Amino acid sequence: MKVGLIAMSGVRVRTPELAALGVTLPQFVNRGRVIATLPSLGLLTVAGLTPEDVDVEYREVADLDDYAALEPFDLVGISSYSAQIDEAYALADRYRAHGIPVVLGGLHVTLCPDEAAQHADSIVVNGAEGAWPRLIDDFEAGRLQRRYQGRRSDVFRPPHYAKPRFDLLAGRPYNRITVQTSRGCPLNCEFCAASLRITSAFQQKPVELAVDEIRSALAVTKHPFFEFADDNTFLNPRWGKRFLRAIAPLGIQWFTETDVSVARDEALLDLLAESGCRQILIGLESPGARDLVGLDPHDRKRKWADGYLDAIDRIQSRGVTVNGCFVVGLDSHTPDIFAQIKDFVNRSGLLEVQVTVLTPFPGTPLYARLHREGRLLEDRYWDRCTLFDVNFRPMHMSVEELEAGMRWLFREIYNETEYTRRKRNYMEICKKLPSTTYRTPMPSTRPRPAEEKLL
Amino acid sequence: MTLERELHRLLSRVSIKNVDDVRPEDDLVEKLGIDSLTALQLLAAVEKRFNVTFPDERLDEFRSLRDICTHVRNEQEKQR
Repeated sequence: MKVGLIAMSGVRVRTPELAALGVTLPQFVNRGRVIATLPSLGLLTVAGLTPEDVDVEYREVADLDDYAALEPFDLVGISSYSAQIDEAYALADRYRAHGIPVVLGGLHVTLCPDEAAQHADSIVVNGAEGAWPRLIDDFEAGRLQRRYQGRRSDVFRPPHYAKPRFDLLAGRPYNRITVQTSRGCPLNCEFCAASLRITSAFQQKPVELAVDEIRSALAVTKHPFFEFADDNTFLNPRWGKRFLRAIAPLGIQWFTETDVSVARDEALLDLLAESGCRQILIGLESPGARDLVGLDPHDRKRKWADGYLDAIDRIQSRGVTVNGCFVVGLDSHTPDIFAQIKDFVNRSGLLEVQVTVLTPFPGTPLYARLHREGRLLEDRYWDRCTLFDVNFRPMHMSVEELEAGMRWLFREIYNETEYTRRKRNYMEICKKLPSTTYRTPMPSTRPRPAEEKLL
Repeated sequence: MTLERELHRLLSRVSIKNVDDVRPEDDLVEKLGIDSLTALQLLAAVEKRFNVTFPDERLDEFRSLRDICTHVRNEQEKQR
């Protein structure tokens, strides 16, 4: 039996003016390229959950030729985000028309199961842990069910845990690999459509398992840069320090997402730098505390906001850059927000900035509220869930003002001159780093060639 | 320590990689897979160590040890 797992990836923008602007902005384009080249960790995990006697092939949708014959899989699994879900459905329909059964899974499928079921022989909701092995058994026995419920807890413990099949990436040109160390985030922001929607609570992987996964990825890829596919990696500083001490000897470079509270722990910050952390992405959301009221149930982001600039300084003073993320279109935002973000970026010394528009992903509390308030522009707009296209009526500005403000802000912060200025600022920070920040690499096992003269 | 050896040492320290077999003409991104931030850290370390400056608008152009070495030598020449 042969199972084909097909990943849908890539960054999309639907609004023509924004798409046209995007291609002229180097920093915007660079990050888009990076995201587009990340392998699907979800499907590699599905592969890990597949019994050993079943052949598994991993494909990116870009690998598939529209005009070529479909590969003769016995079963196809497709995972996709909301923005690409219609393309996933079309691909699923095509396989099914050729008599190849299809299973759909992923976040969007979990949030819109009835819709997804129309395009699949079976769907998996939540994570694949606890569902996929049973699904394969049932398929082989000719009793495939229409829906399987994955586990929402204990996914990193036996018997449900499975190591992702990084070996499926061997020979492919990936230079970035994702590893997940946790699932969920207790901040529970109203707009979040990430892994907290498929977990019952925050779950953290045992350090030993996370390190083992990194070692497995290192064995099959050349010089990978790691992205930890977490929503909030350092929520538990004690776990975080154990993890950082464990990965420091591996000599890797990596990126992750966490919240700004990481800046309160000096020892943790030192370990970030020593373990090869190059950047942490932090959802600042908005520069002003009053804009953040009610964003998360405990108002934590509002309480943190006054310390944003100091936190960024403390993190970046270790040579670890902060990618500051802002969401425009919050109910508190007026047309002044765009200039306020630009001003904050200038004052902060942030090297990288990510600005996205508030997006009511299906299944989120935000979607439910805006639907209730009659503020959604369309009933179904999944292909516009790109984080750059506006899908709702903002509270204190028009849709047109929001779109125009975003374009203005993109031009102001993503242009070559500004990015160069931020790069120089980062270099000046690096010059102040103590030499102990840099570690000596592990000794080479290879013989040293004769020294060559550079000129 | 020669300029060449010192550049190797700095590259090794900022990239946390063994760079013994990096040749002068090697593209550092292709050879070592170093990311853009590490590249900036390397240039900053070179600026600090040799008291030179890389032009801001050309930071992306210094992709090999040879590129960096040539620039450092040229800058040092100008300072004499």
